[in-house]
Amino acid sequence: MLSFKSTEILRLGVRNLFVHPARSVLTMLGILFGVMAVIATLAVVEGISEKMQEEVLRMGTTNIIVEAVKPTESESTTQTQQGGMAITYGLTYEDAERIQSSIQGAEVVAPARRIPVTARYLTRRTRAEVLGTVPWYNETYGINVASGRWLASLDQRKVDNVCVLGAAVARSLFPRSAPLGKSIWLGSFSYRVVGVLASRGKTATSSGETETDYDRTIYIPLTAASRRFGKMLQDQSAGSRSFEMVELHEITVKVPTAEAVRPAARIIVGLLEKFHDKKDWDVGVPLERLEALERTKWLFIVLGVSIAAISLLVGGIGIMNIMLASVTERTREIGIRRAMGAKRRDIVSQFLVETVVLSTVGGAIGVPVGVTLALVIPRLLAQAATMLGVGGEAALTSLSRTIVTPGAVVLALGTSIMVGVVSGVYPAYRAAQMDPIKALRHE
Amino acid sequence: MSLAQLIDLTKTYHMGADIIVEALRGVDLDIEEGEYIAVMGPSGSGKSTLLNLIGCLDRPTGGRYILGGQDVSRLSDAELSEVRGRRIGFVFQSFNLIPQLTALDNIEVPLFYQGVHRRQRRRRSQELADRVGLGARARHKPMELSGGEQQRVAIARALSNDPLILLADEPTGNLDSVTGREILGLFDDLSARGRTLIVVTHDEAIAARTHRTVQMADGKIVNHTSN
Repeated sequence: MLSFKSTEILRLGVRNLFVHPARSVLTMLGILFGVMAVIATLAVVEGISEKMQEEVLRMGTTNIIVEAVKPTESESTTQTQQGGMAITYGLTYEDAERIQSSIQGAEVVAPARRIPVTARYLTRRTRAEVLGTVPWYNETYGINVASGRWLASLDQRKVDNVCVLGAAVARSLFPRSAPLGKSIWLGSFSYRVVGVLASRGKTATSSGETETDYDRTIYIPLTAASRRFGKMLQDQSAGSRSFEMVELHEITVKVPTAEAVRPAARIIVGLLEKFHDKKDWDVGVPLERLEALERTKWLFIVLGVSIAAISLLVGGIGIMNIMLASVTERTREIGIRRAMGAKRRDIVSQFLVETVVLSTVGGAIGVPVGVTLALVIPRLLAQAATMLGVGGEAALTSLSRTIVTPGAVVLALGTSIMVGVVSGVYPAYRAAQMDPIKALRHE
Repeated sequence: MSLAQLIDLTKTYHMGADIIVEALRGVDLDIEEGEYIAVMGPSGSGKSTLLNLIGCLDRPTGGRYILGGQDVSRLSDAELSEVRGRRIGFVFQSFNLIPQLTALDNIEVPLFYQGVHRRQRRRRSQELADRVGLGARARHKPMELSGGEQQRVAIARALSNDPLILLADEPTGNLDSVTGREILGLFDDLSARGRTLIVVTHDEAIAARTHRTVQMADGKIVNHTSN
């Protein structure tokens, strides 16, 4: 009988909302926008966080990335024959060997050098970074070859002038033709293209300060890199003639399990501290970044939802306001119902049902609206960026995707129902507390 | 045993800090089944207070009120609501219909709170609408009905729960004399079928149609007259 009565009261509540359709719709809008904001905000946060997570994952959760860092102090500066200043810093082959022999179970130690170059094919030119590395580098990073092949041990031994192109480099140099087998110029040497990589998109390096575009990288054998480019790198950015002496820019260590990452990283730090007299290195652990990212994500969710919650709060205040007015307006009706046998809790339910129906329906409409908004946000931002002519590039890559999770929908809908209950309780209580005799006489 | 018994019933209201209004000062009244009673008296004599107590809209300050064998003078708010819903029918001077509901829906309101099923409610309300002579007007909302029709709806509503007592407070007060007589005819009819009716009125002509008149003054019954 109770459930029967509840469905009856629900029916009554819905009918009462149709008495003032415009008022009901306007009240509902407050909740609708609130729910929409919650869903869109969460979708943006989720999108950014997943994007960042993918980047970290691409660096490999079982990888430890040791990078060369240019030291700030100038004590290592020496006069070169050319009259410029030369700085010696960074990682060495010895470091790679030491790491290899010190860490038990270290699967691969992939050393790499990075050299900024201008790549040329016929009359086409493009900025790129040459990465001299070992044949197992692709396994460490899960690099996928789209066509052709990856660097082989034979290339390494023969110090062959072969290269594998990142997707963007291949596109710039070979817009219409197939790059495989063609020769491109890197500096004063020509390299035969043996492979082209699948596109990976932008990623942050482990230090998080600079961005490396995997797709703009040209991979060549490490032996070839040392031989052809030497140990000296000319600093392109500085106006003065300064040179950098770097043996290795990067050593990637892959350990078998995630549990082994932290102990291995500690050993590496110990080794480097022992053998480097200056801090010209940095040890990055993608796993730790992943965990830090998770924390940051929650911070953003809390922040975003709090902002969205304000609009839900305003919506709730709107409902309460309307319901208080409605209770006063319907004082007589309340008196009549009480005289006809309605208990206080019947009156409470009647008004509560109205607010909950309002907020639930508002929320239910707000969900698809929010999802739609989440879907168009990346496109809207892209348009806004092009219209303003700003370098939307950076903003776009981090906002190129929004993700609506079931959790976000449940949260938004649940909150909207809760807002209905909370905003309805006080007006309903006021209605129920009315003295039926006075209510009946109310004009 | 009588249908309802009021034993030394008192009601005092506290208005502000130390103003005490004694609305009823010891009322004794026996209401027999099938009786048609008129309550008369000047305003402020306690008629309305008495009606509210009989209608279980309020609790007495002192004394006892036995309705259908049950002492209802000390019941909780929820219990009183239950008693109102099952045993009392109200007819008001200003009809007191719910504006957004149709006549039929208005008639069903007491049954709604009894948990009577929708189909059953509809059958009962239709039957009552016919009985009070609403006919095809029963699907209209109060605003679309004349005063007389509205009061017929109210009477049908008061009868819907088959109450022990039907209470009417100046039921013809807002009606023209012709319509008023029609409504009173309906009351006579109900009385003839054995319904217990109590009518609060200023009108001697109405009182004359009842079985007996209770005369009130200063919160007390001062006179009983059999008509």
